[in-house]
Amino acid sequence: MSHHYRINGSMLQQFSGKPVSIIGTVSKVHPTGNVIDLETSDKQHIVVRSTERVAVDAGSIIEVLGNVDNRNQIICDSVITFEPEQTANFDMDMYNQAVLLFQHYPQDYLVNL
Amino acid sequence: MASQRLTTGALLRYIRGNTTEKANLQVVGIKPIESKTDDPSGSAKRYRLMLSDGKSTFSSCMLGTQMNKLIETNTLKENSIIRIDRVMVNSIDKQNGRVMLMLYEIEVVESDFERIGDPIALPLTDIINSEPNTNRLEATTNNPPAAPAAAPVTNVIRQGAKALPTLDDRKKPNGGNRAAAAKGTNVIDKERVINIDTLNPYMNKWTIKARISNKCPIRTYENARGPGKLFSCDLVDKSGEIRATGFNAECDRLYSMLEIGEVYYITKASLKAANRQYNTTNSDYEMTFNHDTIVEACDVGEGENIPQVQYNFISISEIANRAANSVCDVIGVVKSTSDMQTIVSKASQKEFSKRDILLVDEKASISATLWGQQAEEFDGSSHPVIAFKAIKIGDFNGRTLSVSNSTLMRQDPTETERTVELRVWFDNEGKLMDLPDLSKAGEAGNRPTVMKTLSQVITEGIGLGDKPDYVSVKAVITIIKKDTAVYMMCPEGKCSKKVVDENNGTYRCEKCNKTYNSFKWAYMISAEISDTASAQWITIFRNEAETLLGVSAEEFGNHKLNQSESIVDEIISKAMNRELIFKLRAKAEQYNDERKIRFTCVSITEMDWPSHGRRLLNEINQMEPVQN
Repeated sequence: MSHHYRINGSMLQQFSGKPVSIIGTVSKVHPTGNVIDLETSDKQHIVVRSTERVAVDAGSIIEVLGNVDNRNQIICDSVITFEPEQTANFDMDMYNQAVLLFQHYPQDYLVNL
Repeated sequence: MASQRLTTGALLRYIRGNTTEKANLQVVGIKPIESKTDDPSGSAKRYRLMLSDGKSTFSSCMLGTQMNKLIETNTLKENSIIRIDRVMVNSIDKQNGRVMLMLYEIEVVESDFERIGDPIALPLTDIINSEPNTNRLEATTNNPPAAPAAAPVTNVIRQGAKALPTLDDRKKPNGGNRAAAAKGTNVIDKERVINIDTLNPYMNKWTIKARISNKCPIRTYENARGPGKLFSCDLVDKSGEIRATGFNAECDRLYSMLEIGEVYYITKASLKAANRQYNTTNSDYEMTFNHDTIVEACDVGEGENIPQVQYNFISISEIANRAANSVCDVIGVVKSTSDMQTIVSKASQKEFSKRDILLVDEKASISATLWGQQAEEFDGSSHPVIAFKAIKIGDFNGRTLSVSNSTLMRQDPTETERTVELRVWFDNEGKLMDLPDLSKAGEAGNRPTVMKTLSQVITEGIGLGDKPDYVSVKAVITIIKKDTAVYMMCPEGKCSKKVVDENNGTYRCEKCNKTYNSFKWAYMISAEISDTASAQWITIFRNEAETLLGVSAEEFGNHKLNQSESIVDEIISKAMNRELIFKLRAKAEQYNDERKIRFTCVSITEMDWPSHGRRLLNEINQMEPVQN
């Protein structure tokens, strides 16, 4: 399994073509089920496309693993959903700060294990 | 408004140094850039804008970070019209056309708009040639009185009313004469006075007009390079404050010159990211006086609109989250005042007189200690509002405050509205309220302890002192000695001694000097805990052990008696390999000739990941960032 870089909405362009992991809140699921609007940890709205239907609820927090395409959208390989109890205390703003830290100090945060 | 016109030609005029103009410009591009700067908070993004004045575009316009939210809330976006209220030019490499416009204050005039005109990028030649004196000489830093010939100051090229910044002239041989620092009003460019909150390490020429709100006495130190001395002071203007330090030669030169309460023009000092541990100013940066620094006293009357002091208050309850020996600014009402006390320092056998006051705010209270003359003169009978700047935090019995040499104490300060807020609150309800007191730890379990790693615990000698130390660690149990987890304890209420099994149904307690027909199982678990740094054996008793294993000592003992290995193993394994917060008491004990530290577990709590994350972020923010 290749390593995924944890990013937020503003970093999409930087990571074009690279495998990424994005955590965010589902703002809208398109009727087809293949396209999700995701609000990322830095309050950006991005589009996630999947080949299969993704069963997520609007308002839930998910983690998307995939690649950034040249339209600044995520082509997702897999989606990780969480139990409500798991995300009840999740501090999205703090996660965003963590993501920024990973970028600032890449030598201190291992990605390739 | 229908006809929103842009100020054509403004971009070139800005680049030429005419920065007083308040132009209307259109945003034609926004790009977030990675901020690999000295920014200690690590989370400030910088936006780079491409602006158009209708005729030309310029792409190197940096938006001040305090306005980031305009972009993040989509108020400022592509095609928005903005009015520039404050801008400065930053010449990285003027001769090659590399300049930047720093947008310090803007106003979004129209959020949504169509693209105006068909602007084209400003030609490089225009930028390079935008000043008349194209063969500018290397700059000299100041105007020494003994300078040969009457060369006008060549580092400042005047064009109109404003001067252009120059290349970094710190690298040039410095012909400066130190005496010029004290006089020579022609050296300080008073027209270039900027706010303290706009200072950053990338600016080449700036002048500030600031009041010395606090000055610490000269301290000597010794490091690898030998002995040295330093002093530091806080500089305040209406935009904010910044800490400035002078070392060795600068210390000698400037310490006596800078008087607390007076206002000075200061220019040419180094700027770097602030060391948050010792610096409670809310500036991202701190200043170091260097041998180019020029300081000039303001004339009487010139400093009138500079405030006396800048406070960065935290609430009293927040002090619980701060580390001991750090400093903070705090304000509260004096609820009670103790009498004068005299204590003798164990270390120096010297006598100190002190007075404790109980400081309260709307949510908590804390004890603060005043010393010497300040303590003697203090009168808290009117329950005044007291503000402390840079008061030291101690961890005796929880959290306490102590005035130090660099602390500033003000009674009923007028610079902050907190004074009135607190006064009103106290007079109406506060004086009757019983607030949580940070200086009363109560049981050991309530003591807010510092978090350390297990290797820090050893290297910092925790527990080696006369009294026991308390520390918290985030660790995992890696070994539990299950065979000795419980012991047979004397059934007598207060006695907890181990009894001897006489193997005939009776049990002898040597301490009580009695034989009993029964015993009680009691926990005394020897366990090894490990974290990322090291491992340590600790002992876990009674309640904590029961919390950990989830079964009473009695139940565990019975399983042991019944030799139900698998049940015991299951109980043990549930406790292992889970990250928990262990609050430990470390106490040195003498074993024959050896002095060893024994660690006892005072409490075990589950991880609270959000607060742990916040603690880590706080610690990271306090560390000095790696200089690139």
